[in-house]
Amino acid sequence: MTPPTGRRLVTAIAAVLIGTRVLAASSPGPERQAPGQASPEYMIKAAYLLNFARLIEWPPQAFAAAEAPITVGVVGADPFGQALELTFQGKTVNRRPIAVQRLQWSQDLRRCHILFVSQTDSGRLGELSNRVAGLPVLVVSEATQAAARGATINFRIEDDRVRFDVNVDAAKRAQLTVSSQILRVATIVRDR
Amino acid sequence: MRTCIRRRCVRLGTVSRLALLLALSASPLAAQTGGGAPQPAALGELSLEELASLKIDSVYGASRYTQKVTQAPSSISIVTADEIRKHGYTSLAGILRSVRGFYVTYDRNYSFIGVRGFSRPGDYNSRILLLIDGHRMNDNVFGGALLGTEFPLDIDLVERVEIIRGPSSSLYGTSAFLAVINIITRKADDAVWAEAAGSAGSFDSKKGRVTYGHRLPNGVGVLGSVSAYGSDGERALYFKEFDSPATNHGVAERADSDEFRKLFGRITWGRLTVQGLYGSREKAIPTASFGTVFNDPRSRTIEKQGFLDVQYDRNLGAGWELASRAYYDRYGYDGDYVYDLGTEEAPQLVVNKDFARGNWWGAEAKVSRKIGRHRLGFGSDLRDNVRQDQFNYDEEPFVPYLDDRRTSTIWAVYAQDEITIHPKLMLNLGLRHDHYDSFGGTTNPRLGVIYDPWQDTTLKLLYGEAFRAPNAYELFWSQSGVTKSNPSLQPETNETTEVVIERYVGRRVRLAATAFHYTINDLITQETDPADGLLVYNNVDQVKARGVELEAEGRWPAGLQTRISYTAQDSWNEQTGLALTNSPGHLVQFNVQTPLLHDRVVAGLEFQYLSRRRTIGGAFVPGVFVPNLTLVTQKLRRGLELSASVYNLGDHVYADPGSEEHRQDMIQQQGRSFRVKLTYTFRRAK
Repeated sequence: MTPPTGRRLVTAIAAVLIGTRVLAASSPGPERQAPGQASPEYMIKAAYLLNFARLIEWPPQAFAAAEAPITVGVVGADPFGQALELTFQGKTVNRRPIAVQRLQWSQDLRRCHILFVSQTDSGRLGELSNRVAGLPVLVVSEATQAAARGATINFRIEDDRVRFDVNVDAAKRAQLTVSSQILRVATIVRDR
Repeated sequence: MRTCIRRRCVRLGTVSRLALLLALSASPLAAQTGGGAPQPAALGELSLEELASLKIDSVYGASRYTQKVTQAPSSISIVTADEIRKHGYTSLAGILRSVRGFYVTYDRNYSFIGVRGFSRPGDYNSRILLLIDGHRMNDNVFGGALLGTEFPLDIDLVERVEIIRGPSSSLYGTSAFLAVINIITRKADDAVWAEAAGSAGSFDSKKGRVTYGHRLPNGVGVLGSVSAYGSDGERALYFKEFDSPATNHGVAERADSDEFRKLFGRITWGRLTVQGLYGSREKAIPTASFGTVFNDPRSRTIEKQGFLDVQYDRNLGAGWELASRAYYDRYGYDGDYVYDLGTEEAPQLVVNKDFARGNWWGAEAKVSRKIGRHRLGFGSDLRDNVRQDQFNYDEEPFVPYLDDRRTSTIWAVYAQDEITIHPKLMLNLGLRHDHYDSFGGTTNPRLGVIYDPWQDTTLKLLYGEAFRAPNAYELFWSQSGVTKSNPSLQPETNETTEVVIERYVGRRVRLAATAFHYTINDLITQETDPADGLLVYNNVDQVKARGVELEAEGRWPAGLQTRISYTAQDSWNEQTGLALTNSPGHLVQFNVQTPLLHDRVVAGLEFQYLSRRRTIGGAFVPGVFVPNLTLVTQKLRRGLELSASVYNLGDHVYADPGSEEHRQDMIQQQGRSFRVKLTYTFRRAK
């Protein structure tokens, strides 16, 4: 590569990179992002989670009080950005607000009603289902064939759309009543 | 040469500033004030059914598995069936014209694609890889891809077109040199699905198609389609290079006809898919290419291409998944070229028959699984060219010139790993080794770093190497006294570095900026051997190019959709210091689809602008600005759709550069033309 060519390429790449640097400087960062600063896929997944909170019935003992919040926990890596907060803001289900918690794997996961495990942490799905076995916790994941590996609901991408599987056996074990509205849209799977 | 380089510097300076501007305008500040306000809260009000219908962009061809566009190690564009309908595209070439940075050259026989400033006159698209549902379409004699009416699949059967820029030899081997184009065919979702379409247009062109799909309760799906097309073409075409009394004053009459027949069929049964395809096209050549007699309608070419392809996927247990494929392909080219071997007083017309036959079969297997943070894949491809034959003779009197019969075998192994280092950082590694009988082995890597600094922004740093194997034509074509073969040709190589930034502004707007640089070495070029004066292909040229592409795309719920892009590029031959021929410095591409008349009609308007291009003769074809307009009815009557298109709306007179085989340095293109199309679809749900 002759020096002028190299320099020209560097100029071009530098311009783009400087552009992103400026962009970085002007960005308030993930914690204080402007509305909508989430990828379309996770905005859709967040909206699904809201629907699950509305259409799944937890046993009464899952809540400490009548108006205690429904807690959605994201375990490990968090791909949602602000999408969860933005989607749940001001929403209630039977007068219960929806709270979001971001959890480390070392923390107690049993106090959540919905637990989301991202693709990145899908290797620990088996561990998670052991830790919440028998408890009224809806485990939602997005790994390949996760509904057969302990998750109750599993997101997958099909025909460029976000679809999901429901493992009805896993739901029963967690004492969750899944509405027919969900089952109509879902692909139903069972334990192997 | 010095001033030439200096001018490039200045131009790129402008381009860099533009890239900066786009990056700035993509900042959150601009996003907040820039309209199209995203409303994640509103998504929460959607029903499950509505959520399940929302689209996110995904791509198969970039990694040989389905992944999100933002995670693919390439800069990608997607054109959907909906856009094809709303813009009235009639060929793959027409679709590609609308894609950022792509342009098409038509020589009134074949369509040639230009990508990233590279479109060598006469290269038969051998530096892009064309796939139909992952099946390689480049033939085994010329390595070419057919893109115009000669493309063997009816364009109405296309579900989507994936355009993957940059080298992908680490995954596909030869031809994946500048870009990969993967066509996904339509699926029949309903139990019974039948469609009939008829169209008519300028130059007495007519087309008909019947498609039938059936899905049985046991899951077996069947789809079959037949199409036929015929066009008289321009009744009279004027070429000033032939303007003399002996050659009809430069007017080629009734020498532009174009006809095709296309068949497609598919059976799916669980994890098994069997697909078959056949297309044949016959085109008259009005340009008197290759020194043939002007205004003789017998000069023509026929392309025939078909395949039978069996795919089988299965789960191997322990998380391993297998994807396999076996296929058999045939390709045929028949050229009739009329020459005058006599004198001006006593002409002696002879039909020269130039033809090629290619047959090949192949098998592919790939296993993949996720292990922790890795998504691993290993694959192997085998291609056995049982026939790569070229022939040439004069019919009457019979004079044989060439009878070259070849076979060859290609095998390859490849591996790829997608590593999620951190939720925001992915590493994509690929490596493939290909082995050829002729030149031996070649190994090509790809490396991608994909970083999401924020939820809606992706930054990709990409490096890839690619090769194009010398084709049978370049290796073996010879004609005594004129050309000679060169069986020791080596592959051409390409090294590309790219930076891609993609940013979503809410759900509606996507912005993308790309900067690329590539170096092609050992480019195969025909030259005269000073020792014997014969023409021969040699690995001689080095080409460098770089450029910047900027794109903004918006989709609104009412059905309004728009895309605009700007490309600035510069490519030159390092030996001569000259800019490449047929390489526009600037491209602007725009399209918009909008509902009108209370949603009863959708208008699709598009234009392409290409700046001037240098010709082989050293002149320049002026800039080109071509707008096309299509109106499509919606809800006309159940299942019925009417569409009307005007191409080259302004009747703009423009030309594409000619190739070595043309006496014309510039070939004038189609003026304004029309098409109307009626489609009736019958569906019966499950």
